[in-house]
Amino acid sequence: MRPGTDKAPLEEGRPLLDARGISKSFGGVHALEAADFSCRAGEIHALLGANGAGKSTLVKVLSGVQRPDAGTITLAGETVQFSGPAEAAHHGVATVFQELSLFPHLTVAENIYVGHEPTGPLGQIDQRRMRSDVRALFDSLGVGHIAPGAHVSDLSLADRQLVEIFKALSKEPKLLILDEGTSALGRKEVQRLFDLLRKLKAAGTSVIFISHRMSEIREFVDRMTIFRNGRHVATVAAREASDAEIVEMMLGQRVERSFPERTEVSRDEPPLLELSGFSVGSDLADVSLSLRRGEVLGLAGLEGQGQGTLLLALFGAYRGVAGEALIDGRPVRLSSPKAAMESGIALIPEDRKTEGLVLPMSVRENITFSVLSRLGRFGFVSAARERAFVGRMMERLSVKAASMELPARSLSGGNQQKLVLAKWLETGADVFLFYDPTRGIDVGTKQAFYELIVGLTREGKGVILYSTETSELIGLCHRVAVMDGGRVALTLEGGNITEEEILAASLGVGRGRNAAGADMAEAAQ
Amino acid sequence: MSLRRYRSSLLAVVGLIVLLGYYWYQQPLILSPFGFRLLANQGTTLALAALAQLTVVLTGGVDLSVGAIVSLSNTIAATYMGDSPASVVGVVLLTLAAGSAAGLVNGLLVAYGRIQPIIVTLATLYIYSGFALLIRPQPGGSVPGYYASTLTGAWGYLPYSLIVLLVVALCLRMPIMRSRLGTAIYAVGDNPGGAHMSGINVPRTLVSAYVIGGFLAACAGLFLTAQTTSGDATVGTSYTLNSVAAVVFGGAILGGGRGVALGPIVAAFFISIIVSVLFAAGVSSFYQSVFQGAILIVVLMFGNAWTLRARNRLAVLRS
Amino acid sequence: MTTATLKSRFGAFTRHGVAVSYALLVVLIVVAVILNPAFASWANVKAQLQIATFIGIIAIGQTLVILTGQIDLSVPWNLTFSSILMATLYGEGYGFAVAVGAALLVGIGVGLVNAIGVAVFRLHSLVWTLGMNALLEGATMVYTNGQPPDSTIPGFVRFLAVGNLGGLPVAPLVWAVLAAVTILVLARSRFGRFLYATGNNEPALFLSGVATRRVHVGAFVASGVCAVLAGILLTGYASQTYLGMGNDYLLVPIAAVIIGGTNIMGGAGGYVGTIAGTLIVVLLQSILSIAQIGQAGKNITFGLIIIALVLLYAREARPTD
Repeated sequence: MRPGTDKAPLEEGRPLLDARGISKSFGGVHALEAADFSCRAGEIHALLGANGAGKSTLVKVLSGVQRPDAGTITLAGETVQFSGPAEAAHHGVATVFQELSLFPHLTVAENIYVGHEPTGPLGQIDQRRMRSDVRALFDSLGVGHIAPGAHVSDLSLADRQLVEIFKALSKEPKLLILDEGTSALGRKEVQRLFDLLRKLKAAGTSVIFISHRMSEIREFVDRMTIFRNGRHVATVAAREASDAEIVEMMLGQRVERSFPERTEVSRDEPPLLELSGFSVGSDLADVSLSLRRGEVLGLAGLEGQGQGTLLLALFGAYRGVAGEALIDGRPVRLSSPKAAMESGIALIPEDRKTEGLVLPMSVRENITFSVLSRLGRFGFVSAARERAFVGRMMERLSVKAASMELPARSLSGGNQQKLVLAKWLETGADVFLFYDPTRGIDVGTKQAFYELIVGLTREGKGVILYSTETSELIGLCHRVAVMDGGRVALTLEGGNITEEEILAASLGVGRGRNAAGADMAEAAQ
Repeated sequence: MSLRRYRSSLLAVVGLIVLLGYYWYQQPLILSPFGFRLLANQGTTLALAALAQLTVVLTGGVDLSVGAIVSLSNTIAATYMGDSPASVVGVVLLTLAAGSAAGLVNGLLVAYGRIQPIIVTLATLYIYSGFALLIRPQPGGSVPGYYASTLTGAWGYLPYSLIVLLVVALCLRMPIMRSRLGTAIYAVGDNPGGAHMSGINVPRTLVSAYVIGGFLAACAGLFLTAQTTSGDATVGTSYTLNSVAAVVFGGAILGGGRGVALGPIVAAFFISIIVSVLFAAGVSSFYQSVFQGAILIVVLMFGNAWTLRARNRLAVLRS
Repeated sequence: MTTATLKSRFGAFTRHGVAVSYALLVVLIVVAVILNPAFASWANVKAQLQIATFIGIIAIGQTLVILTGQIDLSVPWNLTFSSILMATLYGEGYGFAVAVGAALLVGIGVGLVNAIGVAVFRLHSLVWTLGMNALLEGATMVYTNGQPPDSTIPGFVRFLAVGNLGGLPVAPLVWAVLAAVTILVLARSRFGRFLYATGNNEPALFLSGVATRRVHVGAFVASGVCAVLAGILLTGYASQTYLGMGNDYLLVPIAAVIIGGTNIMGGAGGYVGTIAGTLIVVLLQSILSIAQIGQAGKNITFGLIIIALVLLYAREARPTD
């Protein structure tokens, strides 16, 4: 044990899980280096760390998905070695992974029971019992809106995450591991989930919880373990350390989380982008917005209220879009991403791994997809011009990569996200659409992204930023449009952009609703 | 199983009803016991081959060796069957074992060799057809008359071939597809990584699916032998691609996880019968391939139309 | 291209694939020469290259299509129909340009329809191009009334197929030129770059503002045209067209692409490997012939070789790695 660990002897409780000296490396890169981790019976334990700290690898080792190179795992006093997830489950370890492990075309009930379905005398699955059990479980937990017979592909992302959690719980685990298991859940659902976790805890189940949302963690967990660079740094009681201290332990240095100063926006100029009556089926209803040069317009609201649809529709990725879009006063046809790009729009999509990057291809190739026609002649690419361009972009965004020929896959999450942005910097885009750009990236890189976003506005670009982190919206935006059910429920401006206002408008309660009503009344006059 | 899964079969069912309706209008004789028998026999081989293909397609693979296993079974059966009931039973079992073994090899290479199914089965397509050629370098051989009539005959309006098909399909459904193995097959095709993380033994599931596929392809070969009453090492060639067509027309998704047996069976009958229908309609035999191709193409476009209605183009790209 | 570029572009997967397939090629050549020293004669080398040309040219199109993650099963009857059309038109006195032009138009049209099915209707190419193949078979039957056509072969086609230019056979030269262009396009052009990206992650390329449909169109049209070119050369070589002349050209070129180390799921590989794959396939056939192994033995050996090679270099990663 290193000095500084286990700051104080905490309340009693025997260790349910004790992992000692766990090492795991991938092709010479150490993901875990003699890492220790221990969790008591009946506690909710948060595992924290910046990207690349080894949290996910530890989860995979604990759940039997990966075998450690070295180290021992003791579970309830017994030394265990898992040959696979099945065996881990057998020992009472159930995990909700970052990548959902659901089966979209099986039913909710089939998903929850997969691998341990109740069977009849002939080995046939007892569908009826499975569904009624799930029905009863859902009703008792207040998620009765999810039908046990529904196909998972028809559920919202948040509901899918809940199903994933219930799937893990159906194995009646002694230890439940949630790896970013709540990233898509709204506040109400998170609250409900933690009510459930507390019940489990009372029944003696331990929960290991991993999340980037600091506020969530602080409220609900008993203890926190901080990892850095594949090693255990400290384990502290949840109320013992301040946010700043935790961030410092995660990063190894004190980082003030501060937002760069907003760019001054001229009120006199005509808007850069004007949307009127933008609608997409039932997902987006009659959205009218304007964006000025130098401005950051935030999109807020609960998850899945049309924010993503709005951004994708603006970028031409939807068909059947009604309404009008003007850029610099000229109407534009956003019929495809190519058309949107040519109209001066850029999109940093939701999932950098599947939508932003071609992971097996090089950093160089990923940065140049959108500008390739300008880096050569007659359909061929000039290697020299391409390398020069890529070098310039990497320097401008300080992308950390040993070589521009490395596959994008090998970069950290934050650097990958920079590649996605780099691709757009010289396409002549004036309107930048960011879809939750800092989700799942570490605190240091988040800071860099704030600088980059504000930097764009200083150059006279306009930014529309959708973020699930309210603090980002408060810190960066000139105005915030709160969306609800595919509509803009309320637009907040300047000093009105506060956590309370956004939340109230998101939930459609209190002052938010009144203000929206007033807005509409005004508009009607 | 949810009813919703059967929606994918709708297109094939409607197609077959329309086709049979038109056939009946052209050729009222098909409503006779003889006509029934003819129709049933025509489609059964492909229906069995389609079930073989479906089992593999559900796991996210594709089996290009189905046709070769059909040929191999045909040559084994027609070469060794003999005349006595005992040897008939023995050779039928031998043939089924050979088909299952062929499936086992496919499955082992896919699951433990970690080679793409399309490559594995392209290679074994050559290997199994080579074995078929070894057994029967020239077409020939025979099966006893009672073997043929037992499988292809009829009892009044009830063709034996349909009974055979029904028994095979039910055996497939009850003990296999409705067991944990069945769910595992769907799960592996739907989300292989998730299946592994959910504690499903993915390699074992894959191997099982390919073995079942090989077994069913051997069933198809045995039935085909009853129809042709002789052996030919290339007789099965067309069943590979036609079985893929039947599976897709029948609503299963190449890529895995989606599809039920009903659709491919019905689609197999559609594909098999359409030639006769065109003939009855007086279409020159030269046009038959045109029609077959055109119908397949139109049907595919219809079948996929729902995907295209999605407003989100990314969803369309990923489908 | 630097080594680092090669690494990132092809990954460990294909670097090994190309090396292994060329190593195997050398082994096969040595085996063939030991079995029959006459194998190394110039006449035999020419004969082998001649046969390899047809497969190699079809495999150009197939490589491009497979790189995008698709497959083209419409080659056999595209080849047959366009060749018969060319020979018939020429026989009816339409002249060389019209005859060959019409054949090429067929190839372009087939490629377009294939691409529309795949890129617009989002159909799986395995079945869609199969339907096209059936359609083209029917079209050939209707056009010829099922009779082998009376063929008149343009002199220039004969020259391309079996002529000599400065002591070198023309057909392999045609192949060499097409191969060089293909390798250049894959390594250096925008289209080449987009082929790889489409095969790896089409949504990401689409969201980069690239019209990915056109990439599919390019690949399938190239494949259609390659099939036609191979058909024209085959017509000149055989001095006739016949029904089913394309039957041997469905799976063999695909096997050549796989043996050459291109990932059947798209996104990795290239034509350098396919050349080795093509030569391996051709050499294997003739070695087995020299060794007097019958068709059955040829099939079995061919299948085993594919499996052995792929086990060597094209295995998928374990789900947990």
